[in-house]
Amino acid sequence: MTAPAPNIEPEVQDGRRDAAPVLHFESVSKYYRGLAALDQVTLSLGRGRALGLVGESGSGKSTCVRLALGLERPTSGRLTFRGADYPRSRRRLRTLRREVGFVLQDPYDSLDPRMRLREIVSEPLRAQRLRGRDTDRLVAEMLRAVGLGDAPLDSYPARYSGGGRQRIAIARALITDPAVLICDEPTSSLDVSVQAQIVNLLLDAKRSRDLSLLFVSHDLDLIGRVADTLVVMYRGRVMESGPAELVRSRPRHPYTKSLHDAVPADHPARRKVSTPGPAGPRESAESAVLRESAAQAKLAVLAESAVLAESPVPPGPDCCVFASRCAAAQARCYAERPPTVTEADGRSHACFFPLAG
Amino acid sequence: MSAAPAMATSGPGPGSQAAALEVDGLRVCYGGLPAVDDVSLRVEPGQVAALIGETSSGKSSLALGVARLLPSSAIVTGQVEIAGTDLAELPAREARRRRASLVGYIAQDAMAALNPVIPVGRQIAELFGVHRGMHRAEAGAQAVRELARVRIDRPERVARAYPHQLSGGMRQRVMIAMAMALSPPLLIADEPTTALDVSTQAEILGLVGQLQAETGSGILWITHDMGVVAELADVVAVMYAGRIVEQGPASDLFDHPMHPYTQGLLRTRRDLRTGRPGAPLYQIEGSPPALSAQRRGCAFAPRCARRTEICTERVPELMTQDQNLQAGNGPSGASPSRPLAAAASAPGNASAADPPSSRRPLGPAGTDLLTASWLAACHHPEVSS
Repeated sequence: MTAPAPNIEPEVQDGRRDAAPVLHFESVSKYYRGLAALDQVTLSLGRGRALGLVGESGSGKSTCVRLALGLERPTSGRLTFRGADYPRSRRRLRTLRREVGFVLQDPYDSLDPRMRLREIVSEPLRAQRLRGRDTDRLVAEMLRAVGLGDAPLDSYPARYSGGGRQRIAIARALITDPAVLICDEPTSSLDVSVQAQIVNLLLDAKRSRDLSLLFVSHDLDLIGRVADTLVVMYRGRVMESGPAELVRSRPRHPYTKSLHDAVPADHPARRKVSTPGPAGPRESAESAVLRESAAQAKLAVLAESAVLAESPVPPGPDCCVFASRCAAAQARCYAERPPTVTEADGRSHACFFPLAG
Repeated sequence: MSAAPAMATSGPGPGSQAAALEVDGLRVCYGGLPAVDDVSLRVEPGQVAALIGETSSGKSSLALGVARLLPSSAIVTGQVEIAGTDLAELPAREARRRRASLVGYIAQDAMAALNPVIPVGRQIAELFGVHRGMHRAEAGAQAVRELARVRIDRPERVARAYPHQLSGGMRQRVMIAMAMALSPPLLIADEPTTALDVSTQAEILGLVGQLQAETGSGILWITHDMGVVAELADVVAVMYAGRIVEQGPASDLFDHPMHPYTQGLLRTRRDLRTGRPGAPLYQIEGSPPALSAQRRGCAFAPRCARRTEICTERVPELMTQDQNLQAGNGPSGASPSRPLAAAASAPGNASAADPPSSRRPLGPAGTDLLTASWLAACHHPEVSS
């Protein structure tokens, strides 16, 4: 891909990349109506790196995205971009957004059907008041970079398939030449045979533009393949983080392990879940409601809709939020919040009784 | 769809020697465009047949066509028999009544399929009222038992809940309870786990596996996810652009897919699991075709590395590949087969332990329905491992 006028100053030398993260969350919490969507989350995205956020519905992935985009402010904690706090003024926030591109999950929702490709792809420039005479040239260049070289600038998104639309969204995200690209489940609404193309496009952009990726997904296989560093989240907290390969192959936190175990088999001979047995897994009404209503009811409705849960314990400060689903849970897990322990190999976990890994 | 078309008067009783589902030459057209094009398949009682495909492959049209749930604007031709009954031959009213007892339908979006203003217990009870003539209290008690059967804790409370008060996984369990309430011989599951989290998906897959072992229904499971296929299916049919391009016993298909599309799907998946982080992923070029009236040659040809002239000229027929498999390679031994012989293996017959070379060759095509017959529609089938 050819980059239009690079405006990322090499502020940090290569060797110190990780020392000076592009994007950093320091003990960030976000409360909605008294319920923690994010609870003391610390994470760091180094320049040119890919950070994978993985978790189920209600884990706080999307809240992280909203904060990173500057759409919302954290209730507490510190959020920095290249070492400086996220600005408060709208004008400076707008300037920051030039550096933070995003690709969302559903390309059928995220592209305005009434806008032509030219307008869609150049929209960030317009928002940034950067639109100049050679906008068309730049738009064409971006479309070429995402593999849509022969797409007419005056066509509408309806003409394109899911994969094509996601390419358009990527062209739009990259046109301001951002330092960070936030991808929120960028392939989960695409056909299986098209997903890899889009992921490759993102990986390619990362390499050729020295782009940092914040990649959000519920798909452990996919995210382990894209990210250098994985952050496993559950109900607003970081359960485990570390080098992707380690977290994927030798999880320390029981939750990470349970995510692994739930991924379907790769061959009928190695089935995991559907071997008929006398007693099935019983999902307790409480855990089900707590787990999923968080996302569906946007947390706040939890209290009202909890017909089924007599005690919908909102994630308390004094326990492990995974305890109720954890096979290894002991009394301590319900009484204390496990501190985050960092190990020599760069991994950290928040569990009193970590697996051998 | 409100109170789900799901139900049955009696279980797979003595009369159910017939296949749970037998589809012959099904075609579904929207405004002259074929979404499903000459599809034949068979699901035995107690068998899980997975139908895998992506956007516009026609998998959902097939499912709705089988259940005769498509709007009248869709032209459906071909023959569909569910446990020996052809709904199309019955008068509309009778068909509606019988459908309820023949086929249970589990939709992807339970929120849309359930009635939002009626407690879920009453929605299930309604089935027993209408189809079994039960009184209200009796039907209500039966509904609670059905909820317990899908492993829901404290089913009495859940029965009184409205759909929006339940989590996604719970709603899907309710859908399954409804679909299986009248023990139909056939269940159609249209991507029921796609919108769920992995751990909830694993629970649902486990549940369906157990329930099926209990009831012996045949299941047609529609999905785009090879992982779900690996977990659940006895036989697999791969659909592309309205046609079945390959089908066979699940284990064998995973070991030695022959159609380039199946191979691509499996390789994509393997690469995700085993590839080095950050390295480029294996990708299939292009995207699935949109519906079109005039199609020449193989629909997959534009994306295929093995494409030759004939691929763009003639639509490849679905042929048995057993000889081909034994020969190891090359299209020489392929012979046309009767479609109804399709992928019919007894459950559990498809064992990974059987090396493909020791497979029983198929006699005259389609004579032995219990032979795990392997079919592919490709001019250049190749065994890959």
